[in-house]
Amino acid sequence: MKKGCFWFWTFSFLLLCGCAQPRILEEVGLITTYGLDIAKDGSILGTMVELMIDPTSPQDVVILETEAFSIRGIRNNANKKSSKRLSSGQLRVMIYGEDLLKQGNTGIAQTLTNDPSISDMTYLAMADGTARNILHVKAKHIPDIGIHLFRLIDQNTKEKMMPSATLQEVLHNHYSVGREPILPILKKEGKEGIGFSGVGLFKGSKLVGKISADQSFYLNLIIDKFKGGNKDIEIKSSKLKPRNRQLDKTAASIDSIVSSSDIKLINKEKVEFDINIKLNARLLEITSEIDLGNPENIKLIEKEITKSMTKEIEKLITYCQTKDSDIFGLGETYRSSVRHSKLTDEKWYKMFKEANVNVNLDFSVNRTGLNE
Amino acid sequence: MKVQYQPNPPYILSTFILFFIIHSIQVGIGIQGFQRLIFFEAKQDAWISVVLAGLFTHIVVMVMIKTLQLYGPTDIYGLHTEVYGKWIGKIVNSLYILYCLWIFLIVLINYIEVMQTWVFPNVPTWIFSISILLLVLYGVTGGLRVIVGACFFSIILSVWMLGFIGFPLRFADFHHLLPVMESSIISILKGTHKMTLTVIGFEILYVVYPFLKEREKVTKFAHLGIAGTNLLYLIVILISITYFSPGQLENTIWPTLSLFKIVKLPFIERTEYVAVSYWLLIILPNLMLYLWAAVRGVRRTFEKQRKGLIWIFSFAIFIGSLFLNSRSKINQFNDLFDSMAFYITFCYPFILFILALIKKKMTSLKEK
Repeated sequence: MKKGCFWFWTFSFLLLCGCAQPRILEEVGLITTYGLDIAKDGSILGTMVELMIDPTSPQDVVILETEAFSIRGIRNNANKKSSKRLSSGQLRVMIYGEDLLKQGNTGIAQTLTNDPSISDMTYLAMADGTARNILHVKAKHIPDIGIHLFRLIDQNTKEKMMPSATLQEVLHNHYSVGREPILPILKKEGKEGIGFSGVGLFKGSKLVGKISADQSFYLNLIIDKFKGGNKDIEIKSSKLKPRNRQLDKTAASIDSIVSSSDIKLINKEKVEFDINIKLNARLLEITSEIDLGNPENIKLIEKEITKSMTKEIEKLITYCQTKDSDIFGLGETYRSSVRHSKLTDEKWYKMFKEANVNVNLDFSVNRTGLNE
Repeated sequence: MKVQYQPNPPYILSTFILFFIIHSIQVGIGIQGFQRLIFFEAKQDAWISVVLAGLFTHIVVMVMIKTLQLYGPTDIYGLHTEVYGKWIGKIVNSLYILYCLWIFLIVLINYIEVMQTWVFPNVPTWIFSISILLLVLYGVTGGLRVIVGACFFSIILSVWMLGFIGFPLRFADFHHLLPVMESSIISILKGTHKMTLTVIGFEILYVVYPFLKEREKVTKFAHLGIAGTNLLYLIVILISITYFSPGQLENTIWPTLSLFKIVKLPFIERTEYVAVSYWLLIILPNLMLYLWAAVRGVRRTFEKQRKGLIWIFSFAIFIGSLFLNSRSKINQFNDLFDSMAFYITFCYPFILFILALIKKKMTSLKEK
């Protein structure tokens, strides 16, 4: 009896654990997307996409807008406007307005990791213009803007069209010496479309430059590995006659790209790097009257493509050097190959500007599809 | 009190279980956040510190086993009485009992803190504290065999967590490990010192020893257990250094748990919540073993079967856990413990071994 009594009290006590705050799905407003901009008075203007789980409501998504001085403040203020308690456990995408990022030193991404309810795999992106504009896009084919943006980024990141910028990766690059973070740029296209338009380059946490979506392919070539992917390459060469007489250039479309890259420091004193990129692909289309059955011609095409890619990559690197934004992680390579370098960000910015970078690209065509 | 202790046959354990006892008591609260502390000292060479700490542990355990073998089946309480005599022995034993309770409190408050930060920010400490204590009491009143069973299952049931290594490996950047040996030897050793709180636990061997069946196999399984822990720590530190960038690691309080943040499974989106809650299973055997060691110490030293003793201990720990409820207090308490524990677990065994050796020589001389 005594023992039974003891266990009775013990287990009834354990029921007290139910005192933890319950989170019933129907009573919670899930925030799937945040958009952050600068408000007129300098505070943060937050736009949130709230997903409501309510079978009776005709609309699943509510867009809330508030101003506050902190990110948490935005959510707390938005709570006042919402019939359901907002929670950010399902946050998938964060979009920053351009002006906010130009300010720099906002520390926004850092505060996000303090909150255990926000996943490190949240995608970060930058808006061309304001984030508010993008989240307010209304179109028939987009019933839920939050999920739409998430799928758009997710799909393109996995296909390597966009550089991957999850919270973990951005913070990782932000906190490492000799590597700067990047964010994909989303742009409102027309009235109803949203598209990937480029990549924002950072120095510390300040936006310093942009590259186009086309160049982001070359960026990915250096910092990532391809296993499948496709790309149109423009070739300007006298040896290839374009089919389209109006244009003076030929386009080659390659896919099933397999690439690997390797950065090496070859000179410590006069900082000099070798970037070796190996690239295999299938040549599917070329807008030129050329006989692909001839191995000589394939060699020619390989050479021309290599030339134009190398040129593009060199252009990209020079651009980044003028912007002080080492997005390739050259500094990281320098730090890890030079003993007692005691590299700091300030030191690296100076060295990066003067660094010599040689690009060695090795491109080869695997096959040309069904026809020769 | 008798120096030697021979438990009744039903209480004797197979020796291989020592592997599980040592491994499960070593892995506990420390593994959640040890990377950061070591990284502060040794930077990218932190993994060398971890390896050194592991080697040092092997040496200490070797000495511990040598000491225990001097007097046949005995435990640390018997050894103390033998070495220091009746009265001083009792005082030293009491200190050792306090030490066990202290670790218990450390593990408990640290776990509660993790729970409150990650999953339940609004649940008060006392609910966690009482619930966990009741579970521990349930195990400890069941006796050593139940506790050892808990050790066994805590390891078997948490092996799946290792399977998530692949997720952070995807983001791993092995450049972070280079250049090797950039930090000075001093800072690497400092890092090793910081490992104390993470690797301690193996001293439970001092108390469990008489319960093991085949004592000649103790060396083998004790070292296997420690080697298992060391390997695990090495893997965890290597992944943490490559996954996090230096600044990120220095800013993360529980890097191991943060590693779980990126694990995304088709049926569960946020694995770290599961991991944090599941950690109870990992720390439970630690708590049980320490409480058991403390109660056992009282029984051996004062030779009294105090029934309510276990309740008194638990109550004292409960009260203690109520006061230690903020990050800064817990940090201070951990640091204080850290500096003490280093001497108790790593230095004291050598002293005890020498004292026991001298005593043994003296008695054999007297007999002649």
